[in-house]
Amino acid sequence: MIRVGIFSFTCCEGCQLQILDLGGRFSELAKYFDFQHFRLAQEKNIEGKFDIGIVEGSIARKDELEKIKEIREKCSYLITIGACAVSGGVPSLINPLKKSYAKKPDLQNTSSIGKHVKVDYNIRGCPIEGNEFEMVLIDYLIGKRHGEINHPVCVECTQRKIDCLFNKGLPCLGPVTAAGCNAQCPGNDTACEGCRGLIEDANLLSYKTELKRMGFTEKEIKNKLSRFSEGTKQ
Amino acid sequence: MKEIKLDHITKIYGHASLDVKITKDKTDVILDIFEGSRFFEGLLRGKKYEEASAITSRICGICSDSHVLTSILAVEDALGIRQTKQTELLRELLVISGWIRSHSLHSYFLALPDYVGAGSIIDMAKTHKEEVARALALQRIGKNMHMAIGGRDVHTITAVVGGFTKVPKNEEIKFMLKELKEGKKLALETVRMFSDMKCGKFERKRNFLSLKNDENYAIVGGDIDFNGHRIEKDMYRKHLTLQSRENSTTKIISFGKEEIMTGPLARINNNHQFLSRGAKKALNESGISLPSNSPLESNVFRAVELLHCIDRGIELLKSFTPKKEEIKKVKINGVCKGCAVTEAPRGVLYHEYTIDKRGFIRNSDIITPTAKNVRCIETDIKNLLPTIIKEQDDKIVLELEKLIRSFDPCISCSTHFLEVNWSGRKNS
Repeated sequence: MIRVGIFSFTCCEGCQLQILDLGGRFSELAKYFDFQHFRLAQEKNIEGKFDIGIVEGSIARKDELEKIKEIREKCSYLITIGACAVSGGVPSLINPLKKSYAKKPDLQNTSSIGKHVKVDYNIRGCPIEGNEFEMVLIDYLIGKRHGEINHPVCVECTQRKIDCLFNKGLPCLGPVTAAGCNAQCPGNDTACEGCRGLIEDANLLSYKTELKRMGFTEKEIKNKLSRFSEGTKQ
Repeated sequence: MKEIKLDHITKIYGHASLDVKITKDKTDVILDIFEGSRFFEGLLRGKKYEEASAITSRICGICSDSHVLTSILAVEDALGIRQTKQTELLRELLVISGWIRSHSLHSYFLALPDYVGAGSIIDMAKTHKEEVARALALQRIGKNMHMAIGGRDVHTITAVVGGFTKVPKNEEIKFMLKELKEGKKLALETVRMFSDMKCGKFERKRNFLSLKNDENYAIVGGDIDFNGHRIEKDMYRKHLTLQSRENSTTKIISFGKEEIMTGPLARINNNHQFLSRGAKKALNESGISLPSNSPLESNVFRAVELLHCIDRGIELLKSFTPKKEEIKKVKINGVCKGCAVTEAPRGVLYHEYTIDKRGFIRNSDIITPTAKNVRCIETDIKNLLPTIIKEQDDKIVLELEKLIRSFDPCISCSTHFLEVNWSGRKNS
């Protein structure tokens, strides 16, 4: 059995919910993976060593910072799940103001897991897709490791033959956002909100110029680009 | 002196521990919350009004729909937007799907293991096949319904200020109806299961807080009822007082000086006459007499509400023919302010926004159910302890955990507060 620990830091716990929501498929996974630490779901949680550590949430407090370092030591392979863990997510939006509000146990900035410890794989999204979580675990089981998706949501829209929302004048973040969600938001006639983060070679200059031409102000564009990631290069 | 410490309570949303110190003269109980602050009211400042629902959705994974809806309603209240019948109906359906999911998750994944002597639902897979199958089916029904209306399984994308970006197709309506009809039987079995379980009784006089209207089981819309006093939503905030605690990231909320209890117990006590026929019958058969003053009976009530939501969903969907509607256009005539209250699965939720003339949020105020319940949970523990103090330690811990879980606390929700000096705040 592969020993797994699921840990949660500051966030909404929607990603853990996605894991519970796998339902019968979670029971299948439990045949091969021993979920020894999963506080949301079980009474007894072991603090020992793990083959895989799965981490949700951002680091907002000093005790969380110590805890994540400890977890890194204990886990051979560390996977972050969801925007908070991968890029700071919504909780990190407070950073420019946090200094004036933070209380004793807080850190000056709320940040991603990768800012503090080495991460082996990021599962993106707000929330993550249950299917992708399942796939990453199964891949681990059969010894397959792969790189992260680095093409924009537009590729998936084209595959699904979804009418381009950006062309219709909506501020869709699809052209600069990493795919993997099967273009879920555009598929529901809603502009992509960028929850999976920017692709590596996102052409931000040209993207921002287009949005300005469409009538969006500098501030609106900045808000849109930064909803899920602390200090996004803009 | 006796000391009981529950580090990092399991099977609740968010991160909390319990500290109990008993001396000859008194008992100190602190539900210590050690989750990072997220300052949602602070980070909303300077965002466009249409972003509020997507951002506040991230306060909580399990009741995100309630945050989305309350946020949208408060923004629309500020901007003076009136909704179409179809949008109102879709919104109610969206919240119902969230309730089905939240209630079935709490009932089976978080509460049930305590009552069958298991550590988790994962452990129950072999011993309680039927219950686990029922849990997974109910979860699936809520999730599929949520996907059809909200477009994504967590953090809705279709519900926006002014309407819905997409409405479900006819075949999706048919599918939801089919699934909900299946769910009816499962929900009834859930009520019976918790009724038969004899969850125990722990009574104390309480101050119940819920929504109330004269037409239906109030989830969206209506006044606020506190101990029989009706208050209009616009006046509600003035009655609440917020208290900080050192090193804790939540606020303790009272009604004036009074302790509050909100959630299924308050709702059923105040609004049981509006439950669906099936839910009423199931409640009668449970043998619980109303009003109930025992939080442990919330387990049954949550199941009754699950059944009610399914019935209500069927009622709404039965005669629903969706048509494409345009999102309402927004016109801002200067600085404006609005608020909304809804019943989230855990109780009364309040959002308030002030929006400037360019559409940017100037101020916001969000008050969640769990922050209202914290005081009540602590007093309950204080009162429960003397009755169980002679038991073995692990039995005491189990009883305390059962009590805490019966509130279905959502610590993630309670820790979003912005640290400002509330006493200096103007309520106008």
